[in-house]
Amino acid sequence: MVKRERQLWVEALNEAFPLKRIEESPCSAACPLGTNVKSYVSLIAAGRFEDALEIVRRTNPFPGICGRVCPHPCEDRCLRGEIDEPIAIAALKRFLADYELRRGVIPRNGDITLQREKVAVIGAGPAGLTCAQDLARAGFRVTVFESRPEPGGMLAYGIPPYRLPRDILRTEIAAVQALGVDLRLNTPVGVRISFEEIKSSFRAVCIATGAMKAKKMGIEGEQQVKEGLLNWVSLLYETAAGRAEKPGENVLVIGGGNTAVDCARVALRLGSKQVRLVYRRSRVQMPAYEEELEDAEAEGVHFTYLASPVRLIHKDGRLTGAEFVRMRLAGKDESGRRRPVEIPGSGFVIPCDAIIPAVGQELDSSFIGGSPLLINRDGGLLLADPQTMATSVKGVFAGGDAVHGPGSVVEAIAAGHRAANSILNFLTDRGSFRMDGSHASKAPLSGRGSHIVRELFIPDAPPERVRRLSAPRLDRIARRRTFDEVDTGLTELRAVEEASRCIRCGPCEECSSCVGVCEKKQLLLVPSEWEAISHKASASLLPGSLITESPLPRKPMVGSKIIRVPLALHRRVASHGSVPATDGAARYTLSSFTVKVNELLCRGCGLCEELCEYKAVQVVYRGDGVFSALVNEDMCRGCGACRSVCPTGAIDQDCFGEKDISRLMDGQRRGKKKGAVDRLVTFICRWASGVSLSGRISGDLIKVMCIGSVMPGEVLKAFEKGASGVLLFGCGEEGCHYGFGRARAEKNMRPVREILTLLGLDEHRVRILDGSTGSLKEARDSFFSERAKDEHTSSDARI
Amino acid sequence: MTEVTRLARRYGFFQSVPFIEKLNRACPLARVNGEFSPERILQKAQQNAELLLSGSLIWECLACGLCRVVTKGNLDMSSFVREVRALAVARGFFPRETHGGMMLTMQKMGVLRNSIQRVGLIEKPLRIRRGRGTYLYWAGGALFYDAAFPGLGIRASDSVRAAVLLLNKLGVEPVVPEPGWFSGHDLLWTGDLHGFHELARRNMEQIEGSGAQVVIVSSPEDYYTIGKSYTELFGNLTFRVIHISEFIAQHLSELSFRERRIRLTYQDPCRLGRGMGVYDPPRDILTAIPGVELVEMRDTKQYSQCCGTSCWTNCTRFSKLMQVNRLQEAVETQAAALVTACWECAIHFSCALRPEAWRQLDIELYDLTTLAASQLLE
Repeated sequence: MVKRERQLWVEALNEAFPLKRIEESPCSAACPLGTNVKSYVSLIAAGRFEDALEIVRRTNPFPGICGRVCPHPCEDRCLRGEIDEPIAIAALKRFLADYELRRGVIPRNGDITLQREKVAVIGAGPAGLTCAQDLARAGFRVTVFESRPEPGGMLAYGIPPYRLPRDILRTEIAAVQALGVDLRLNTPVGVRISFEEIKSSFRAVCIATGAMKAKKMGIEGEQQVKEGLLNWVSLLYETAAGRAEKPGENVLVIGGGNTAVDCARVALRLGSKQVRLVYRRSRVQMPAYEEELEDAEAEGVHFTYLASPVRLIHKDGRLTGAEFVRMRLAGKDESGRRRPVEIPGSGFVIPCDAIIPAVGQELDSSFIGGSPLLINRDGGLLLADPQTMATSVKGVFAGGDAVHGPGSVVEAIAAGHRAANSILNFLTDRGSFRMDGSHASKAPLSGRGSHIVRELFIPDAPPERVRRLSAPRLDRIARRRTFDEVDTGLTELRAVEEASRCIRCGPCEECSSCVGVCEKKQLLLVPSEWEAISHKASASLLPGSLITESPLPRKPMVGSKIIRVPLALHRRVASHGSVPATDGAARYTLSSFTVKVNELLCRGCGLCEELCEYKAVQVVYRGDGVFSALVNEDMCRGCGACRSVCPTGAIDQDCFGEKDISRLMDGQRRGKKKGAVDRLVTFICRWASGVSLSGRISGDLIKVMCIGSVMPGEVLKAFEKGASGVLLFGCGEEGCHYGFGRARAEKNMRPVREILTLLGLDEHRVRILDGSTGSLKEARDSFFSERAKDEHTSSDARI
Repeated sequence: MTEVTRLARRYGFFQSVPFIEKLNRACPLARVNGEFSPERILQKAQQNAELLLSGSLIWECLACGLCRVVTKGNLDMSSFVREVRALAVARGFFPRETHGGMMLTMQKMGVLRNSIQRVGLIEKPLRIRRGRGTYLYWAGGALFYDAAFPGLGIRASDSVRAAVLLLNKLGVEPVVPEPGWFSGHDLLWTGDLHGFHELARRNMEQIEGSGAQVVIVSSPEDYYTIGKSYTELFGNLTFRVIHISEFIAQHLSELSFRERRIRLTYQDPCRLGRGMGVYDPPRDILTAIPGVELVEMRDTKQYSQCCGTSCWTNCTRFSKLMQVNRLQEAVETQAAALVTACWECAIHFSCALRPEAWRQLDIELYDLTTLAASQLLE
């Protein structure tokens, strides 16, 4: 890419997304849970699915559920949508949950310090379970009372299985139970146990019963109809339980929410011939999700807008039809939507044999019993402080649909977190304690490849327009007759490709990956509410910023020497690969000693990734079926161990790499002169050479970054070119700059020794020694004297 | 006229221009690498031979021999490339070796090897003859492969032992020179003529010294080299060379196998198939195992695709693409495993199935001889 063009792009990027002004990525800001969307999407793009899931879990205990049924406000705000289409965030989250389900990864719960206090949660819906999870993670003993035989609340009873398969629901609830939460099913409060009893035996109570009572339409004939008037709660529940029967041939559904649409789609699946959804406003005002509406239309649900029921028509209690009036839209009401107004004299009848009113949900407050202390609002909902979720009774908190009326699952989870947070404050007497989903959320990620690779890059060019990748869906004709999940989910490759579309707007992800891997603990995350911790770099740090450059000045090299250069110059070297320099007398090329990947040669086998101790190399998908290694220059410490295992020679170092080694090797004389002593080729670690190069040394010396970087092939070549022995001289385990040099070298030399044996040569011709046993000169001298002894005794062939 | 241009003329390339389009389309490397095409080699040979010698084109060619098949013998790019490589090496141009040069170096070192020594390749209850005998089994570089690639699923020395077991079952007790040597195939095909001649001479001494009349070979490359290249070098041989699969296929009636219900597909190694024309014996062995359903890939027999790299040189992302494409073909047959008679094919394919985390292709790799021996009835 032309440099100028790149510069323009970077400028444009800075202008469009001024990093300092964006407090949070729009996606995270839009999420009621504040999920770190950018971070987990980036980790998916890097193929680190487990780490990505860990990020999701920090705020969301139900990724599999939210990935399916969340209305994804994050996607509406996604800035990629301004280029082409928003990132399929929900589908990616769902992919993570499916991935875990397939792989059977156990969620990491971290250490829990058990507390004495007991907390009760009423209702095992998303809000209640989230609250229970948070409190259990904080160490409290939580008991959840659920009146129904199945946990999950609206998730289990209000969402049909073709949108949310039951095994997903059960798996995610089981993960909450695994934290030690005592889940008591079939225990309706007010019947099996009284509310007062709970209040007296638990230190705190969280009411999260939801609003699962179907509202009545309040029209003429509703009391008289005995057959054909259905309750959506029982319809959806029976469907989920697999016991539902066909509601009728000709079904009317009243309402415009997701529940109404679900009822219509369920009726189709149960075998009804014609299903019509009637809504009193127009389609634009429908609260149901657009995808749901499109799916319903595709499956064959008919829609009638701007009509409201006024009377049910029946014959001997059997429903035969319903009378509607036409509506028109007037000015906005308190919900911000346009208000429907009846058009007088516009009545009409739609014949039907079943009607499902899905016009609203209300709280079933019978469980409170005689307790006078909870104040009910006129809407039939519980009254609680919107911030602290505290009710008028001390120690009793409430959240979710029971307080706010019907909302989305993600809002319920957010309410659960808030309630848990308040309960924690209440129990621990800490006014300032904030809980953002998980206690241990700032713990560094662990496990395979805990490092950020792609996030640190500014893309080279403005992104190309690419349509978002969606998961394959069941055929619309076929799905009319099945409760199988419509959306089949993304595959690994598609997920990576889709996640790669993210333009990563906003500041650092604060995923803390860097903290876990920074060996010297000098790479530190400094979130806004923390004190700056880094003793070396704190002065220059602004709150909320991430140090992406290691404060350690790295040491580029001149020729085969490592020199210190000013940090600014060092940065130029790092960003340009290499820069010319002069000290007045000689000209040099400064280049960093990190490894480089030749993408044309790299076949993405992943050997380097498996071996890198610094997690600096990672295989990434480049599109078109090509995988190749990517080096994170900030993490690479230049040991070169990866080059020793690379089958194709794709990964190498500018200094002390293949070029240097083969140049030095070619300098060796082929064969040896008659009567000359044995020749020993020594690969010497550049860190060791400083202390051990004492005395004049004759023979072939080849400097390397670490003896662990020497390839078996290079040692064999030394023999082929006439050496009678090869010495790898390193620093010893104690003094090794990298710590693993000797162990790596031993591993690399194993095949060489075997091959030497097969060729009838003594395997001790390859030796690995270090400065702990003496200087290089002594090591070489001892080699020669032992060789001389061997020649008399062993049958080892002479080369 | 340069030497290269003369060579191209001798190969009749300039009269074969009508075939080049067809060849460009068929060449497995050109199909994945837009920078490479047989036509470019031809053009360079004609216009700028110097660049052909110093450039990478001649080393990129896989010398898989598909060119001969698709042009009905008119364009033998493989043999041409082999000869140009020798010219390039003589001028000081070398290929980019894989594995840090380990594989080619150990073959060169084979010239310097010590006298025969036992390394425990074949042990009891397997029976072999010491000293001289009618049959000689050529183990090739099996032990060297195992030493260099310890972590792979297929072990070449197992394949060698399997071959000796099958031979024993047929009443043959072969002489097996240990630890086994490379035939020099890779040296010849990377232009190291001197190294090849030396190695070939020492190998011939060894084979002739055993008094063998039949030499049975497992590695397709060794089979091709001893069978064809040694003949070109030394004239008619005093012994007959036969591939292990041919030998077993000839005596299938004397062997009985246990049933194994499995769907398999077979990869024709370039040197065994197009090189020596051995297509059916490996298939006969597979179908002789009761329960085995043998299915063919899209490109099969003489049109079979190469495993992506040859002579331990020039392994690139395109090699990987070719391997993945070939494995994809195998997966499409819905076979549970891909069987090959070549250890190098096995090594390359196993590498293409790495890393596990990204593995999309669900297929196993089997070695033909090991599979046959493991199904033998006691």
